[in-house]
Amino acid sequence: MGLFDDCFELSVSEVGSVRSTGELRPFIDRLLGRYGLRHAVYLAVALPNHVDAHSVVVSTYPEQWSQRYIDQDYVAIDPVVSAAATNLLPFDWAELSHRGIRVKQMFDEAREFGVGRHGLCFPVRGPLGDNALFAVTSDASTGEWQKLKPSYMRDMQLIAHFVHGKVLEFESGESAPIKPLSAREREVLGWAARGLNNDQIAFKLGISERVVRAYFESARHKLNCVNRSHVLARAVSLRLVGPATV
Amino acid sequence: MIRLIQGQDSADYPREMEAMFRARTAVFHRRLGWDVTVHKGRERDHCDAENPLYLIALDDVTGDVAGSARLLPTTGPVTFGAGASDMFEEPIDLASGTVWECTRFCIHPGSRSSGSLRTATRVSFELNLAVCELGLRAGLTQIQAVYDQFMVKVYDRAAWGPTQMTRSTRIGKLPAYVGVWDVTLRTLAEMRAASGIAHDVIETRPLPVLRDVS
Repeated sequence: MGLFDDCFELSVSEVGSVRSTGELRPFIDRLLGRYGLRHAVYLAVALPNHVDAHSVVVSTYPEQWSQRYIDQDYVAIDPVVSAAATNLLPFDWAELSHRGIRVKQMFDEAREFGVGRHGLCFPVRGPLGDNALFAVTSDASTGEWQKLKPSYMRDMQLIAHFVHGKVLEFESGESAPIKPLSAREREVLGWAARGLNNDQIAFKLGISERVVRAYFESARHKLNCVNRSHVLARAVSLRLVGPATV
Repeated sequence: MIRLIQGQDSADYPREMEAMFRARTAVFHRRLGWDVTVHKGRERDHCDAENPLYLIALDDVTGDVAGSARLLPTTGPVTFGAGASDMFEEPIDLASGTVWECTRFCIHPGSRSSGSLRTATRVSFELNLAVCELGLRAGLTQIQAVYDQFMVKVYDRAAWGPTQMTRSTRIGKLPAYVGVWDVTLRTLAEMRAASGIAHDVIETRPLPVLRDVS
């Protein structure tokens, strides 16, 4: 439905190339190019089994700005960080009402360092009290940004959770699947791996196509995948379903 | 009009919260006979402590509170989680950043508003529209909810019928169902056509002012 329907056609090898927190950076760089975005940042707010969540940062910001942010301890005053810790809904940085001289100074400096004119932040909430934020920035004109924003929502919501899932796996030892798949989710994956589309799976299982999509979407999240081919490859490699033959 | 309240800000909205918790007692405890915890006339559960989003239907004219619903991402703690697996014929176990659960959806009984929310139908239209609007704002693909047979008519009239996933084995006086709804611009358009409400129903407000830190 969005402007970027084709952008999310990430190949399985592209996604599979992310094998450490460090390898998230090139993955995010490629995404930014596809979506015409300026920068992205992932920041863990709270991680299970991890003392210092704030140390887990994946950012494409200019090195000087990242250093400045650390030196000034801006994380302690950054309204994007505090809003992400408590908000459920994605928010535009412009929605934040920031008071205080240091906050204003931080935003002014960020602009000077080329962080981007606009920012959109996606809070992530996990089952183990884990909490993170993923933000993307853009240099689009204000009018253009307002038009583009809705089309970023779904993909970025998904990418935010994917990146967080990877960080959980690499940093907290919470390896996927985050939650076991239900019997229905396995069934749906099993038929999909044999080449059936959602309508055909729905017919096979005697359930509606909308429900098939729900199970598929849930299985995708639980296996921390980004799209259909990725989740099928992962399900086969984890031996959750048989090989994709027949 | 629908007021969107974040759990963390609930102390700023004592009137709305009080009306909602009392109405939930009337609907889920007394009318439907669900095994819910009521304390001093207010029904609350563990999810109310998870900083959820509340949608509160307010009459534009009188300001009366006429309905409410609660939303949470299925990636975190949910209403019918691990402990409730035997309450439905199939366990409710969806988890995704793009599928949220909508629970405690109710039209508040006895709210005899004489203003814009005169009828229960109008209240349910606005609440349903708000759930879909919010879903689009959050980039969701689907909403999951628990509902009873009476709500099916309400949803159908709003042109937002659920697709049933499973039904309860034991939950209250009547069977309850778990269903999913699609969140798309098209579903929103269909709901707007059915309700005759063509504008956004969630009131627009800036995010609350963050604590002054400097």
